[in-house]
Amino acid sequence: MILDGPIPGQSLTKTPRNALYERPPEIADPNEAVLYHMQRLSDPERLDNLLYTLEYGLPIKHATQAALTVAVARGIHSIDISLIIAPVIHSFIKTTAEEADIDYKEDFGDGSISEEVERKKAVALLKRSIKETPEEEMDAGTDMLESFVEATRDMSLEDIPSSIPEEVSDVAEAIKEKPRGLMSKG
Amino acid sequence: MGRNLRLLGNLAKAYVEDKEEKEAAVAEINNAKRQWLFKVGVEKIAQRKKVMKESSARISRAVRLGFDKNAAIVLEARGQLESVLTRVDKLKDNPDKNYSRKNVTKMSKAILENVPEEKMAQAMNYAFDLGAQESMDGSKLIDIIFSATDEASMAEAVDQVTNISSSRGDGLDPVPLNLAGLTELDPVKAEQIRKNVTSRIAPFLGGQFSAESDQYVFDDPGSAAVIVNKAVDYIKEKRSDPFFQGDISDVTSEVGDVIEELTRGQGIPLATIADTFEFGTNPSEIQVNDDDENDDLNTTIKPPSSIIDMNNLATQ
Repeated sequence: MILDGPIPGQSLTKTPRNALYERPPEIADPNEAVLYHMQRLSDPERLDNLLYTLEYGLPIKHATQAALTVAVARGIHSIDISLIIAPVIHSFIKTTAEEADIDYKEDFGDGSISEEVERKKAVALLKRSIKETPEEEMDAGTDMLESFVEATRDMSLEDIPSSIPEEVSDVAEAIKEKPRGLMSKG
Repeated sequence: MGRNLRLLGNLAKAYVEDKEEKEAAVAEINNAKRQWLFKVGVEKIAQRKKVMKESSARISRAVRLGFDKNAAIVLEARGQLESVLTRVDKLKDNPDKNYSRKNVTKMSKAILENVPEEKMAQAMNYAFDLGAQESMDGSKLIDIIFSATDEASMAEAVDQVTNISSSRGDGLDPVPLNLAGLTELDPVKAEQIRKNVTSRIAPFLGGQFSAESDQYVFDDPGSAAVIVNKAVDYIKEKRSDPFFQGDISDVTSEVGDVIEELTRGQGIPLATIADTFEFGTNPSEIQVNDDDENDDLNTTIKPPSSIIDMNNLATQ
């Protein structure tokens, strides 16, 4: 098992700042980061896959953590930003699932299962969702799920705090606002 | 004082403008999302839910028809449960076909025994051992597997489960099923099989047709009867084999060819054939000579299907 790890100094053999997460992140403002995720997850090509996966049983916590981990790995924002915006993204996904009448889960069971088991379970559900996507609907949404699978293998599974940090409280309030006008009557 | 107030006023104005800007951006995204949800999304999700429900319903229906639940899930994963159910319904509705639940059970067992990825069957058995008995579907299966405490076996199971749940058959290729095997052979057809095989092998067993008695007369009737019975059993077994994909007349020809080879080709006495030869995949060895030490003198009789070309072993 020990031999599976990198040898001392191995990191120095790679080009510095080659990985996306080694560079300065593209977004440094938490509000902008929230809007980035909202925009991305609301894209119809991605939104349908996200909702199907929630319907299959992927908890909102895992979907949130996966989306944030992918963004960090791609150098979109830092881990610190992830910690700030996690409750807002969680809230956004939850509100969207409610609007779509999805029978969603917040988490797996009562928290008695190990993180390793949680990861495997989440990966299994993501893979199932990808497999059951008809070929003609394979698009950015299935790519997103593939990236979630990769992210889920290593991501943190700490509970997402329910309190909204002050930096993003305005955006969080706006997310919860009910639609106004004609759409609200439907 | 007035300057400070003006500064504070500007800051407040900037804050309000910034807040309004953020709210507008969020509202724009939310509106676009809701528009998609109400126009397309809800319908698409309902469609997906319907597909999931249909899959569960097919599995339940198969269980009501006598299929083992594991076997039904395997067939569903292969994408062939629907067509199997349609054909089974036709067999069931036809009184001439003698649909048999006993044979359905046999086919279920064979399906599970022939799952190409044996770990997948293990995964399911594992789940069922853990208590999966009702409303089994992919997600339930996953839930049950994850309630396990043995992490090593669970990890194995999960990898397999990810190959199960597709209704489009990903990860598992369909297998050809012999649905005739779900029906019982009626006595008239069974008698027809006996007649056909007897007339095919009688010449090699020293049999002569007697018009008077309307049947074959053999020099060694005891041995001939044993061989004919074994041949008939072999053909019946083939007919009820869940994976047999051929014609019964071809099996009859195969039986004839084997008997011809044994009697005329190798000149083995009928009594020896009757005592030791078995058709099918469990060949028995016929010792023509009692000298076990000398292999060259021993004649081993095997069905054609079990003969391996020793020269090609390297390529197997």
